[in-house]
Parts: sequence; structure tokens; C-alpha cells
Amino acid sequence: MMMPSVVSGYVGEIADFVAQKMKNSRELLQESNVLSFVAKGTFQQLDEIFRDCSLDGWDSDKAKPISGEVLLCARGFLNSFPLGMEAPEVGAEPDGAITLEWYRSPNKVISISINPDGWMYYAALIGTSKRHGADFSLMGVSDDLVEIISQVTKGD
Amino acid sequence: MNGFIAPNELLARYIPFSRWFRKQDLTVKQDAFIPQDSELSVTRHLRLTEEDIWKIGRKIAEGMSTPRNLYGRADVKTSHVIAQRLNVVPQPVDGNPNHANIINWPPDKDARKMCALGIAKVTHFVANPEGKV
Repeated sequence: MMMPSVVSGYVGEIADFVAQKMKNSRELLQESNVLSFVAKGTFQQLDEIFRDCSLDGWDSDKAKPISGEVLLCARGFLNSFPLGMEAPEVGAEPDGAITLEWYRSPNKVISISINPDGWMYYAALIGTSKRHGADFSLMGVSDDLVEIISQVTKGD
Repeated sequence: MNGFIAPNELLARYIPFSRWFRKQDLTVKQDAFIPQDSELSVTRHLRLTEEDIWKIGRKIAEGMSTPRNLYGRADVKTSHVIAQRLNVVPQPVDGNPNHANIINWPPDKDARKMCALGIAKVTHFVANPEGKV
């Protein structure tokens, strides 16, 4: 049976109510996922990175500082993760990027860079398979990237 | 100074940042092998003793405006760097005649990360005998 594309009247109000309740539940769950990252110390690690790497040459060489803008992008990017994702290890690169890493072994690892230009770059090794690409970090994490992270973290 | 770096020469990348290696299995993260711009500093082992290698690393880490602890170094064979389609060229500097640069990095950051992952995978982390890990 075909469902009408627009539901009106009393049934429509119920549909709206259910949709709103589902949205609220989804937001609550999302919030609990963010809280889970907080509990696992991920956001604290971000703050530590910002504190440790906010000056030029923090790597004893020519490293660019981690900017407040990159910190905000990394926070926003993590907030977009779906439920149940394992928390990453946080790091920094000499070009001023914050990194998020999921690691099982040297052959099963993914690293994501949140760069000062607002772009996110990733590279992964999963056995003999190599994956890499780029996306705009403010758009949040893509389904494709979630799948790659899952391939790294699952099936140990 | 030898102008040619042989494929079997060992290169050291100093690790003055605790988040560049994993404490659980003492492996090195790709973060340590991302260049700031177009070149990445390394030190050739050529004709240096272990003590010489650490002396250079400590001098670099302690010589900064904000001195850093030297946690260790990542040793990698030149051939592994070349396998990533990168090149290594001697670039002696004051206090480190064995200084060299890894060059020919691809322009795209994700491709750079892929090279860095490939190098990090085959490096050997050596903890600083006088440092803390």
C-alpha cells in the first residue's frame, strides 16, 4: 500500500509528535556520545595539545602553532560522530594540524588531520589496503569515514 | 660531507613530543613524519656513535626557547623513505653536519599522510637512555 507523502489532520499531528520525540531522543543520545568522549578524556587531550603546541617551533624545529580555530574545528568534528564510536588518540603535526588516530597495529591504523584551512585529511592502512582522502571538517564525519574507522577498530 | 645518501643508510628523526609515539608498544605515529612545509629534518647515522646521535638530539631539544624533553628517536632506513617516492638530501647545519632533509613530498596533505604512515610503519623507536618515556 502506498503511504501518502503528506499526512494531515489528527494523524499528521501524531506523526509530527513522533518525529519530534525521535529527534529529541537522537539528540540526547548524540549528547551522551559527546559525554562519552569527555569521559574518555578526548576533549581534555585536545586542550592539552592546544596548550603544548600553541607556540612556533613546538617540535624543537619549525612547527607551526596549533590555532584556536583548529581546536574548535576538531571539537566540532568530534561532536558529529555517531553513537558508539571508539574514542581516538589525539596528536599534533608540524604543519599546525590536530590529529585523531585509531590504532590496532602498524598495519591497521587510521589518522585524520584537522588542518588550519578547515579541511580534514585522512589516511588509513588496513592490511594491504590503503585509503586516503579529504573533506571539509565543518561538514562533520562522513558515513564513508565512519566505515573506514570501523574497519580499523573492529574484528581484532 | 658525503653528497650521496646510500639506500642502506640509517636516518634518525628525533622525538621531542610525547604524542609522537605510542607508549603501549613503543611504535611511532605518522604525526612525526609530516613536514611543516616542503622538507622534513632527519639526522644521518653515518660515522656517528650512539652517544654522538643522542648529543645532537639533546642539543636540538634543549636549545629551543621552550626546551623540550627528548623522548627518543625514530630510526628508518633511507630505502624505506625512497620506497614512498620521496628523496633524502644532505643539508649540513651548524652543530649537525649529518643533518639531511626528506624532500619531494606530494602537494596533497592526504597523500603526505599516506607516505608518513608508510614510513612510520617501518621505523624503529629508540628511547633516550637519559630521558623519560
